[in-house]
Amino acid sequence: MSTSTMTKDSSDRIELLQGTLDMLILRTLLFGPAHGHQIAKHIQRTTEEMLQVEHGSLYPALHRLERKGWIAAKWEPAGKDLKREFKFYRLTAAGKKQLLAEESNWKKMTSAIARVMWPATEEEG
Amino acid sequence: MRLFGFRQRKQREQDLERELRAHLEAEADEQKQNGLSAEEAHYAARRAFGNQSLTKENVRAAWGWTVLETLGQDLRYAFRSLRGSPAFALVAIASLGLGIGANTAIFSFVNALLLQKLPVPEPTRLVELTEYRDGKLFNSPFSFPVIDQLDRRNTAFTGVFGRYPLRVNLTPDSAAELLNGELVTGTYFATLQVKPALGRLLNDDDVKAGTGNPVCVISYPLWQGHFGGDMHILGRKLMLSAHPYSVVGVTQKGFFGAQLQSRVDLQIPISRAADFMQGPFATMWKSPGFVWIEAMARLKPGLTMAQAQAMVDPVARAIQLDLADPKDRANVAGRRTAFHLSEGSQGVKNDSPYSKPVTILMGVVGLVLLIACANVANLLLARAGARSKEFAVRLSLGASRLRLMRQLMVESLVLAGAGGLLGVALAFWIVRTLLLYLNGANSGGNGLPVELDPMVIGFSILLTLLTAVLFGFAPAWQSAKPDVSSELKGGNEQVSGVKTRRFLIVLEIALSMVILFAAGLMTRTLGQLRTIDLGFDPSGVTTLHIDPAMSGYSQQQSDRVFDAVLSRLRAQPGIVAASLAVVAPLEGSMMSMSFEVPGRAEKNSDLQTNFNMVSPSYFKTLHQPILAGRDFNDLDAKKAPRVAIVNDLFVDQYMPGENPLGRLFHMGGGDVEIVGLVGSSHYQMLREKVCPLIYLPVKQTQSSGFSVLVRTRLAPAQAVAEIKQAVRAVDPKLPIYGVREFQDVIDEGIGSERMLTFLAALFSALVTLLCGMGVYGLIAYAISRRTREIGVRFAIGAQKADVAKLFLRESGALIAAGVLVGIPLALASARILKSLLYGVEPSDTFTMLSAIAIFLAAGALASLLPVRKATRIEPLRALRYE
Repeated sequence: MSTSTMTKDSSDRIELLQGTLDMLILRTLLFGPAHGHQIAKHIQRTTEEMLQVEHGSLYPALHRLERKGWIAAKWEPAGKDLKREFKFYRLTAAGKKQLLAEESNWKKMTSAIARVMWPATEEEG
Repeated sequence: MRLFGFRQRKQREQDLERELRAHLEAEADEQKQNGLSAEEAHYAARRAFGNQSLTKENVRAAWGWTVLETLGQDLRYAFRSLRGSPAFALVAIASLGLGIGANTAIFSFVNALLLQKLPVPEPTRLVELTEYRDGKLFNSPFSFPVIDQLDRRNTAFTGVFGRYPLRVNLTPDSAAELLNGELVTGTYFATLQVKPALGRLLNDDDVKAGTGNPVCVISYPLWQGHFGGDMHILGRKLMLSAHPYSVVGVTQKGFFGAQLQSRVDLQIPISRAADFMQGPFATMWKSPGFVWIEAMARLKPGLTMAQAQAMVDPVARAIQLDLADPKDRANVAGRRTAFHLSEGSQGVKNDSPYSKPVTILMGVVGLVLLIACANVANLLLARAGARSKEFAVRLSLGASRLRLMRQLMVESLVLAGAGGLLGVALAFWIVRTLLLYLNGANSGGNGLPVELDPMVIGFSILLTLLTAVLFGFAPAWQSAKPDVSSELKGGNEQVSGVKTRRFLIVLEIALSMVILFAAGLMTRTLGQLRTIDLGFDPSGVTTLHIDPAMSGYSQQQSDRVFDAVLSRLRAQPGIVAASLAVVAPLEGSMMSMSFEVPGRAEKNSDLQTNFNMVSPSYFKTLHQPILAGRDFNDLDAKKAPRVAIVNDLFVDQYMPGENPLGRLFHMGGGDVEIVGLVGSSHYQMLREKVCPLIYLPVKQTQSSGFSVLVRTRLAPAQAVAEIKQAVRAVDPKLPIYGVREFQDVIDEGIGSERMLTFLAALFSALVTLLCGMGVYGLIAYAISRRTREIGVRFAIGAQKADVAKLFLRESGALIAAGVLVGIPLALASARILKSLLYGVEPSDTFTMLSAIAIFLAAGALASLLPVRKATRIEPLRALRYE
């Protein structure tokens, strides 16, 4: 399943590895509860618009994470003078654990990939 | 997995809608802050969001489907797909319905005859008692004192009881009505643990009170039916065989007596035996020398049958010794007597003549269902061939093989379910028809109690699920094979599917051979039974039973009643002859006695022969030839010298080569002179070796109830009416029962064979049809697949015969294979039938050849029909095809 794509230049679209969006969502929610729009904006802003989160992927991911019990949802008013209700997601205990696991997996993988890609830089260590 | 979720689902849909709207509005707000107009901001937000419905679709996928939702989808799809091919659905449902219906119907008989238990608490703790002497079954009935003593002295049972079934004449005011009664000991109800629906049940005091205060207990159905559920039934007086009884209680609903296959209407204390049977019963019922009562007991909690047996043996011996005549004590002590315990959860055993045929039929209908399943699987495979493009498209669109298989299994389940429903409806009809047929012959209103109870319904549901798996799995597996590209490219031979179909047809034919062969053997058996020389001529003879003791007549009164009935009958025009017999031939009853022939080495106790007591003109009534001497006449009465008539087998065996007339033999403590010689005839039943027989005149013996045999020139219905009228003219309250044409007596005697033959023949026709359909379908399919090839063959000059040969060879090979596999199967299975066969061996060649011929003919017909079509294919049209 494709998750999100880099859109600085539509010609170098790289598909994110499966599960990466999940990890980014979980990480975003570590700061506190947020609704879908906020999560998307947050990921876009922090990556300086490198990663454009597609809503066609974001919402299914949110619902999948909710079903797995890693995040929980609650309707709460927000926005200007609280006139609108948003579905706020927050990280559960299980979600925190999952985030740690995914993070360490991610680190292992990137360092493994790095060793293959740039062997010279690794030698000095 | 979540099963339920319809309500949550709706809620979630609304939530999702709301969540996405909130997102769009938030986005639009941001765009407005960037300076866009409201409308522009709205569109920009939607553009930024992308495809909304796709997003929703993906979110729904993330939710996952609940089992019920997918099942609902599958069901809807299955119904739609079956509606699309109604002919297929109809044939499949009909064959499954027939298979399941036949199984359900026969199973309800198996259930009633072999599986059910008495409806009392813990029926498995009940045991039946039989007496063994020197390791052999001696005599199943017991004397009352033995049962009474055993009940008091044993330590193994919570109770021991005895019962004696008999017919009771209920004479309310006018018409006589015969009920099934049970004489019971005082421990009967306590041991069975039956509770009253009303009043109280019988106990020891009722037995002890004996003649003082006659009481009875009636069954719930009798109370509800005959007495309309009258709440004032307690204390009401009933005239039972002309003796007044008061009702003290009604047994609990569902209880029907101590025998599974019968339905008892009332229980009477055993001490009242004299009211219902002639003879010195007022004292004899409690004589230790008179054995007549069937005995059962209930094991104490925690005891096994073996433990109880060990505990009973010494008690049994002690009781036998205590009760023995002082002169006979040494003899009794020398006997190795044992009271053998056997399983009694079905009450007193009664080997129904239908037990064996029903078991065999269960096997037959099992095969029928298997064949039906094979046939439906065959149809499904053919259908799968036609649907292979549809499956390929679905697989290529991303459906998983498992998903597709599940879909197909649901289709099978729908088919099986419809078949199951049809089957249960059919079973209702089959059971009713069979009962009508069986119980109609089984006169006396005490027919087989067969019902479609929850056990039977459960069985058919289980069967339905099983069939769905049986016929559905292989086709589903085959169809869901992801061979996408070749199918999409334009279709090819589904080779493996055809292989499976060939196998199924061979299987169908082989199994059908088993049924057809069995049906053939049974048909020949029935034919042999029907042509047996009885030794007399049954046509035109009507029989009935009268027992004046049921109306409270004494022996002398009975004699006068019979004299009056006979003279009335003989005076009627249209009646050729009328006579009496204690044993009406072929009704299954018999009497035997020991005798001694002077001049022969054997002593009295060694020779035993069957005998009958008949009135004058008995032989004339049955057209049984008197070979020498004379018939009995009215002078052969009590005071006159004792006489007898013997049959020629008696002479052959005991006085070979001599003239029997005037010879004497000893019987019952006196000399009897042979005055007549008759031809030998069947006595107890159709399936017997004809044996030596002595006839004694009724007036020189003691007996009360007789069969009346009447030969008329009238139509059966008229004969019955006239005979009844003559009896009623003598005494309108005299109960008449068992009025039948003699031919019906004979038919009833072979009722189980007739039922088995009829059903086996019916099922043979059915499975032969199914096989034919299978062969037809396969050949027609092969032809449709090879239309182009046939066209080419014709185009390059092939003759019709060449093309026909092409396909006939295939069907011929299939049928030959099926028959070859079927022959040993049929021969092996037929051995089970052996005890039911008569005049034909279970390996009968003629029957086997007939079965083979039938299959060859059916197979030829089934393949010629499509092949004829193949030979008419026009080359040009065939080549343009596709």
